[in-house]
Amino acid sequence: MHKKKWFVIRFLTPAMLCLLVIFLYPMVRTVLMSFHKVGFVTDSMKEWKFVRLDNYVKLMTSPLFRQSLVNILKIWLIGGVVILGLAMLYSVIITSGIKGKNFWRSMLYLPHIISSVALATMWLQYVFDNQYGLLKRLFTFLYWDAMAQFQWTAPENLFLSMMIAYGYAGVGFYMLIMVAGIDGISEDYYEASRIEGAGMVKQFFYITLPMLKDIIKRTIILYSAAAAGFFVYSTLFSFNMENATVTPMVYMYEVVFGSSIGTTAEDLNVGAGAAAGVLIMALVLIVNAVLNRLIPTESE
Amino acid sequence: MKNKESNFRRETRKQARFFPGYLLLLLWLAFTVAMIGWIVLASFSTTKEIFNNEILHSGFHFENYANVLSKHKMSVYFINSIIYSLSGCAGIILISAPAAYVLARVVFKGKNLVNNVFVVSMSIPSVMLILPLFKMATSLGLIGSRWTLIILYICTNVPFGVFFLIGFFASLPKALEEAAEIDGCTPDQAFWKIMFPLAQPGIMTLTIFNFITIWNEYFMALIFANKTELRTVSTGLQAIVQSMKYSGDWAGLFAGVIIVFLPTFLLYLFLSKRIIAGVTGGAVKG
Repeated sequence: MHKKKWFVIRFLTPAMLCLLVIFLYPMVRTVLMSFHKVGFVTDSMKEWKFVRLDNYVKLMTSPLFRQSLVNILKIWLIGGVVILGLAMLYSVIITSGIKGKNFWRSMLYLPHIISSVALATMWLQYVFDNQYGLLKRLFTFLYWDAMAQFQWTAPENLFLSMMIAYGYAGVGFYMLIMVAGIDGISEDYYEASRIEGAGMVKQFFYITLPMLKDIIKRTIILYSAAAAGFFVYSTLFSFNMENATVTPMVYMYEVVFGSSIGTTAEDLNVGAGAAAGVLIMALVLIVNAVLNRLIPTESE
Repeated sequence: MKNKESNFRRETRKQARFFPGYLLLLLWLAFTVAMIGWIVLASFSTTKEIFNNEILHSGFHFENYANVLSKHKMSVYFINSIIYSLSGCAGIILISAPAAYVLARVVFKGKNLVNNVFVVSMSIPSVMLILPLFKMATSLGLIGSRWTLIILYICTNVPFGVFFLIGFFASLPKALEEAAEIDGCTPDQAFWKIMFPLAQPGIMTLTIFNFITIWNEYFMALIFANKTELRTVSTGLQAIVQSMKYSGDWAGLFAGVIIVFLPTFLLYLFLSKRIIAGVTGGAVKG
């Protein structure tokens, strides 16, 4: 018995250490930090000054942070509906009985395994380019002048361009999960409904959608977490801390590690960065709680 | 013969019903091929040809790759990323496999709690961790060394690794350990000599996964690899993009994009089935 205990401890300790040192301790420290005024990230706890909720108040009154919250809301809501909607559409197509299911599935998922930086560079330096870009050439070829003249990388259009590129990379991932969910629905339901004369649309609304409730909830939770950590595309699609594409995570990065925010003369400190992190996490938790209330899991 | 023909006709009619579906899929395929195909061709052209819309006019220019590898230091970034990815993958398996094994097969007090802590920590966003981690790395004098990223890549991916491997260890037959015990194996030997090799399929899938994750990681690399010699392909490519304003070497930039893109693309080309099974297994089960 003693031997077994020792065995368990020995096998679990390295992984538990990772948890404590890399996850739990930093998380607690970030929460504490968000209530303090901290000059530099590297300051020890002794140098922190307790300021209660000041950091949060400051964040909420900062126009740039408020803009970042609006942006993340737009990314979450509009982007979420479009991306998850497209993923749903494609997963229904792929499971409808078409030829080459595996090929199409792999093709749609491909962008997700490519480095975001490489992918965003393809979009920015080629697809959206206004001299030799793919879209420019395509619309010129189609004699669609309005679209051919469209400035994809102009500040007012950056958000749209960013979401198109982000959507292209993301749809495949959620599609995969939904396809796995649809594959798990028994063929009998479809068979029976076909005999009763139900078409594809009816089958979708009366069989696929209700049976996929858990999977849809899971994809929304996954998408919300991804949206909360929206960072790479935002930094790659902003050329000068563009208001249109800044997100809370970018804001945090700039406050703590960056240089460009300092020039806005806002009196900010590292504690505010920590507060931004706590707010992001709180948002994710709220979304999860609301979803769990709205769509209770049946299987448990 | 007639029967065959009517079968064929029925099949055609059935497939015709899917026409809108095929169209949407073909549009996506056409776009993907056009985008990546053009980048590949552009990476072999000159910058002048790219701007004049006459790609590959003067044949293949392999010097773009030579340029981006040496002048723009892509070779340094590439080797760094290989080091980070391979040591990361190995470390993750070495730490998470024993833990997953214990959690999957040994009954002990507090097992559920440990299990839940692993699951919860997977959903902690990296913004919540990064500031104290930076402080810790500075205190330990690790800033400016490759070890920082290696340790971080290992530790941040351990919870998912444990979670993923528990399923694989749980599916192995119970008789194996009993047989090992009768043959006089210690639990350690039973794990390393029998169970660990048997879990190879799961370990392989997890490793491919981790390789892609670490290869593409951007946020932590941006913060912890702030020197040219430490950069990964992702942050390195971003540095090249930013320097484009001054160097104007677009052909070289596209060559760089291809170099970053190729390793994970090749992995995917040969192992897409396994990768997809991993995504759906990990996301649906959990």
